[in-house]
Amino acid sequence: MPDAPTPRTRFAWRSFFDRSESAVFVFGGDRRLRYANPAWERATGLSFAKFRGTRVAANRRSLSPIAPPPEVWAGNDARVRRAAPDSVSGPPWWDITFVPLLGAGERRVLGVVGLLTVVGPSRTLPRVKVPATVGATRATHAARYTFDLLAGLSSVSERLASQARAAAACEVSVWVHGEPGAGKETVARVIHHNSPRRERAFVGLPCGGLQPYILEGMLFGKGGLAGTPVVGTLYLNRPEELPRPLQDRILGWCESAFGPRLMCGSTTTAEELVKGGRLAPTFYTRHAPLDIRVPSLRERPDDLPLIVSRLLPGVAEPEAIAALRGYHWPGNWRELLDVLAAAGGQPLRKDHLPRVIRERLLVGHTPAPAKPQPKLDEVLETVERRMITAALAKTGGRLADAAELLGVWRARLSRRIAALGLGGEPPPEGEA
Amino acid sequence: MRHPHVVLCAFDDWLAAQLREMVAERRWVLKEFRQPAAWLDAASHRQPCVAILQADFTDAAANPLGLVADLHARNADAAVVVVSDVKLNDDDRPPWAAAAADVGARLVLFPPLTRPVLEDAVSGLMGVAAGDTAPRPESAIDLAAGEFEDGE
Repeated sequence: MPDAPTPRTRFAWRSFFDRSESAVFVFGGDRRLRYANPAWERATGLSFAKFRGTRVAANRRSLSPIAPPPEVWAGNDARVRRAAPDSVSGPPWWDITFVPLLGAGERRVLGVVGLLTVVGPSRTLPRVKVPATVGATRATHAARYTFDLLAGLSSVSERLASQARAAAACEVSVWVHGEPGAGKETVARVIHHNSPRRERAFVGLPCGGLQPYILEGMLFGKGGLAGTPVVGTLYLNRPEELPRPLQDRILGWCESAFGPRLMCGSTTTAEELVKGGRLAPTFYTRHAPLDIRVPSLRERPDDLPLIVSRLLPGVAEPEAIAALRGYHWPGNWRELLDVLAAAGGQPLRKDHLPRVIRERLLVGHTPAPAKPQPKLDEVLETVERRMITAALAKTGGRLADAAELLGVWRARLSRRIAALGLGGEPPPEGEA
Repeated sequence: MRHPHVVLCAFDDWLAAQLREMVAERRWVLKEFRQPAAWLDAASHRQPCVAILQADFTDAAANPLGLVADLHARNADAAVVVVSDVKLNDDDRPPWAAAAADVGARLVLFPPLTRPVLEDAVSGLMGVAAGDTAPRPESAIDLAAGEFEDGE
């Protein structure tokens, strides 16, 4: 005869836990959520009714933060600290104590009881709005970027300034190319700060140096720039360095309703990069309608006195200016600024200059005279001569074939050969 | 003085501790400041430089973005990283990050910060500043290269 059941005192355990301010939850041995009290609901923001009976798994995002670690299912206690789901890595954190309920005389886990405590500040952070003083700082900074920064005495500078004016008057995308250190980002900033989008921000990203995950996080991550219409112009320095998926994602953002104006800077044109397979074709077909070439410093030696007078006080020594004009400036503006920094804010003298530049002056170096402008007739004649010579070489000297290749009558080709003095007397009709 | 410099202005030693090992490995120079004015002077020198500024955006008197703007005016080639000392709401981050970028910051980082992120950011920006960006593996197939060339 079996033993009589031990009389038990009835205990309202559910009511007991429901009234508790401690967040308690219970998983059954089948790893399904069996119980959670109202305090747990308040702490986690989850509804027990919704998740009752749900099996916990690491890949189930909703319950994974309260999933017991493997050692608990092996029968051991555990205490873990996890970031609350909204905070990525905390604070706040959740401190959870897991206690396995073991069957009598066996290591089988009948269930797991969890006790959850929220640690750290409240999830609701106070608002920190950008104050008006920052607006004033931005305005002062933007005021530096006028078209005068680009203007100069040389024709290439004038062309650059007029192109920048045209770009500032509209809102289409711009592709800026030029040698390293030529001032591509400065051109982009001048355009932005004088454009209708100047109230919004200019964001310049060095695509060549930063890891793509950092750029992606800054733009599209939690609290990223792409989530709000605060960016007026996005300047990508060397966009060809970005992985293609990120290129496409940025293009999608720029083409959205509140997307920024796209400007790109590189050492070459968008067309060449697309041909080379390094850039998404959309960059060229839709985002490079304005292509601005920034001239190198050696193309604008006439501007050097003006540039020096802008950057340094007083009057520079004529010999120093002559030495600057004679140098070839492989590092462009960046190198010039390095050189002028040696003057320490004083009027430029030749002894401020590094030896490599001074030597140009000592050996009496003068800049190479500008090449005379070729005449149109000379150019056309040279081209004609080369094309006829090439056609004759390709056809083995047969006039009829060469004329067909060049798309002219044979008689005209004969006349031009004679006029240009190519190959002596033309062969008689019918022999070619 | 063309040696790469990491110029840091922080409230405590935590940021410097995260970067010290990487800076030593690469034989760069790490200069640590507590005073913003000293940081500004050091970062204004013409040299490959990553200038890191720890900022408390809730402190209106500090005006960290004014410092960034000053540095950009003095030395536009210095890569400025603003590291927020306070955690901001998701709604507040974009305006601050955009304002910092507008006055010349290259990157704005918010908590939580991890050492790998800091190291990647600083090493990448220093590569740009020093003009030796390491090529990354191509993510796209170059159809114009080799056997894919037209006419081959």
